[in-house]
Amino acid sequence: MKADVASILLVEDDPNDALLIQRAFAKAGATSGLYWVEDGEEAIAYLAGEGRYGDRRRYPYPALMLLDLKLPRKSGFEVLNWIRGRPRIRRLPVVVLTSSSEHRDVDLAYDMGANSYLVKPVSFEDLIGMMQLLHRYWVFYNVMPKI
Amino acid sequence: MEGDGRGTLAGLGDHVRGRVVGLWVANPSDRRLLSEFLEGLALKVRDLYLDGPHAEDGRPLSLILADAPGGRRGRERIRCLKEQAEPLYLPALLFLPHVGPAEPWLRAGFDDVVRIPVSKAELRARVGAHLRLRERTEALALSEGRYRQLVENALVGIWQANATGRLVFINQALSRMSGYAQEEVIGRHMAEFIPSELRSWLDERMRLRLSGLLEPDVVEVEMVRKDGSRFTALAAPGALFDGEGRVAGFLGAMIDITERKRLEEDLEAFVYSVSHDLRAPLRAMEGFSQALMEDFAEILPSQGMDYARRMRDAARRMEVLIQDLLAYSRLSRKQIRLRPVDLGRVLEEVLDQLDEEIQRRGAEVSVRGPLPMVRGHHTTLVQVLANLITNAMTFVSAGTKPRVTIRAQDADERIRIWVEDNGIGIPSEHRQRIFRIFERLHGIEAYPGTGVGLAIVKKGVERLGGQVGVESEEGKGSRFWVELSIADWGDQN
Repeated sequence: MKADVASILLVEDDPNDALLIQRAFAKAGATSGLYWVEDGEEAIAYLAGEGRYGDRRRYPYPALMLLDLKLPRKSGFEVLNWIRGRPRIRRLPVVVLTSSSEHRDVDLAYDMGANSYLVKPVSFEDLIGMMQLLHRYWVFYNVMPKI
Repeated sequence: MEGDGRGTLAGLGDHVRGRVVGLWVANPSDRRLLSEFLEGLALKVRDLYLDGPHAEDGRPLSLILADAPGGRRGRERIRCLKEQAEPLYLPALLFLPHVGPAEPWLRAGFDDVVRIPVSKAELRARVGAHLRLRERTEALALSEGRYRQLVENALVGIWQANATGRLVFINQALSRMSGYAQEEVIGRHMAEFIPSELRSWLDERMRLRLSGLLEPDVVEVEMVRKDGSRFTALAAPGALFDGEGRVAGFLGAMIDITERKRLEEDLEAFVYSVSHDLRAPLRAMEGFSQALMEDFAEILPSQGMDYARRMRDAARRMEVLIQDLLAYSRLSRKQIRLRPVDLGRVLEEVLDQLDEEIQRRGAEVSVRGPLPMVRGHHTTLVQVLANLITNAMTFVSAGTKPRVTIRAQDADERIRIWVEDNGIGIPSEHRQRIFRIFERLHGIEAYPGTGVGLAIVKKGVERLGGQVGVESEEGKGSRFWVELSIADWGDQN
């Protein structure tokens, strides 16, 4: 089944958040592989298949990206901009997952082509719920583009 | 002179007493007769004909009387005196026989002609009429001087331009603000002092004002100083009308709000960082204490579990606190435009929002009677009333079912909204304190809360131009009230 093989790329600089998201993901019973990179440059290298990311058996091309906005080296907005400017890669669905709920960030993210915008909940219970819904919607129901 | 010259000057009160009338009369007996007549009217007389040219000390002249034919020397002297009196009106009256035209004399600078012989009554009336005019110009000069001083020394920048937009005046404050000397800007167009990208905006506004379509308003505008640097001004410009209602020019006041803008931006950045960065460690605390409780429940003694739970609860409380602080700060910063708001719809939304909490607490919240329209701002009012009702439900003694009543009452031109509860009440000494931020009267264990709720209420009501207060009897509940203006339908546009 498609849902079993689809993988998700998590771009998150805070190791605590990354660990909690992975944990919530597992608790939510999500079956997809969750791959994690720590900054914007790594995210671009992953998508471009540079260096070790050329090995697509170890680092499969993601069906969805979970993108934090505040990142070292290259910000989430820069990553988004890079993605939307590439042929084919531009089709990758990107869900922003960040702690900012400022209107400025939300609007800019959508303007730059984000497919969805989520604010990290403080409560872990809520995070599990969010991952459950997210996985169900984006991996199970959503029809993915061809990349 | 004929007839009775006694009595007071027609139409003039006591305040004309002691005013000085200058006489330029050649004939000594005429001079004496006139002096007696004028002194009989409580006026003082100064003989200009015999005095030297520099004898003009003491009280200034209010009127000049000259006899025929005036003489060249006399005309020159009178012209000179009138000029010195500017901008005040110094009337000069000329006695002329009943023959011959008056017009050349009026053209020569005399203000009126008195045909001799003249009755005392007529002379009295004429002197009175011209002294009245003189008084009017003095009153205007006084008022003009008062306004000039107010404008010149005002702390706000003040400018005036003619109908084509060229400046005719700026005061000292605006000179300091802009770096231009006062005389330097005269004759230059207003557009020269704003950035080029704003010029079409200014053109349009001038056009609208000239056609009467733009009332005086308040705008934020970028200005350019003499050295090319910019500042942000809060300006209140308007049109200036002449005696016939046509636009004679433009007039405005402004303050420099550059510093305030910078502080606002700093605050924005701070709030941004609070919402963004402060919450990341909180998520970790909450998440990992939860993970500890879930994954290590079997090997963690009950005390360890208790510690982990306390960590998690503290993190959650801090999250609520941050949210409340952000709400408070947003309330202080956001632009609020007051317009008619349907209180009924506000209450509907509030009760909808609080539904879950009302159920959980088993509370009874009722709205009594119809709720009117008020002057306010919908989302701010929702925030205010939601906080008041939450507050009312929270502070009840254990085991009591919270009962909250909301009703509206007319209070002159205003509406008072009451939120009444059956709670524990508030001792009188604390009734002001509770509206301050972070003030709590009770331990967190007894009544949960951040101490921000009522501060949000107060800030919100203040932003709506209203007032908030509380009446309470300990142990018998509290009655919070919010007073707002009645909806003004002019606000709709």
